[in-house]
Amino acid sequence: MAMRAGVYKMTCTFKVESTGEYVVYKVNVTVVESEDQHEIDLFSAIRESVSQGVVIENPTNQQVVINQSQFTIGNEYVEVTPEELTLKPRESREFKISFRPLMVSESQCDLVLKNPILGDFKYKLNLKGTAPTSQRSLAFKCALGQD
Amino acid sequence: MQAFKFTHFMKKATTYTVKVERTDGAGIADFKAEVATVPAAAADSNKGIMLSVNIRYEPFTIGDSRGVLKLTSPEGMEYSCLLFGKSSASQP
Repeated sequence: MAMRAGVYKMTCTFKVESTGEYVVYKVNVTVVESEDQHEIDLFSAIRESVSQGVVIENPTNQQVVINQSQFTIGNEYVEVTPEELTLKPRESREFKISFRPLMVSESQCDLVLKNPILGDFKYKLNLKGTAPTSQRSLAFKCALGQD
Repeated sequence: MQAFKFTHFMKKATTYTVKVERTDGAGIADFKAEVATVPAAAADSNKGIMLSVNIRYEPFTIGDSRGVLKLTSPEGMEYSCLLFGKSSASQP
């Protein structure tokens, strides 16, 4: 299973031990970048935060470290936690995508994880800021002539 | 006088314009903001920066007053707070 895009070349030989007959296959495998893996909706009232977990699987036999610098995020109010995630061989773990909108608006952005071992993971984020859920208030009470 | 506290989350510096309006009729509002603008530094962390603006209640008549405080930034940020005032007869 290829983790990263590229051209993989290999030679495969089938041999009959008793007679010495053989046949050779030259195999060229072209692996292309994957399409967007998921669309993730992150909707929240403005100034509140919403988050969603995304599971990353490590199908390899080696330990993989994912840190925040491997993420490219197209919106400065989207954050990924934790700062570093260590996946043991054949282990799956979750990172969290959080969004805090500041204005009532809708937008989309891309989130890309580029890991040297696991390859690239692409996500399309649908971001939406809705009207605040609560209205703040202040109450005053005083006698006339005072403040 | 009371303080309206709010959290500034924007990751760039800005200035909020403070406006107090009367909502229970025409005329001068019984509420006044102590400042016309509130400067805010860039919020580096996702916890934001706590800011505040003092609101003074100076009633002219006995009874209830209503108003609204609005803080707006040129980028489109908006915070609002309803203001309720209740004044009684002055005590000797």
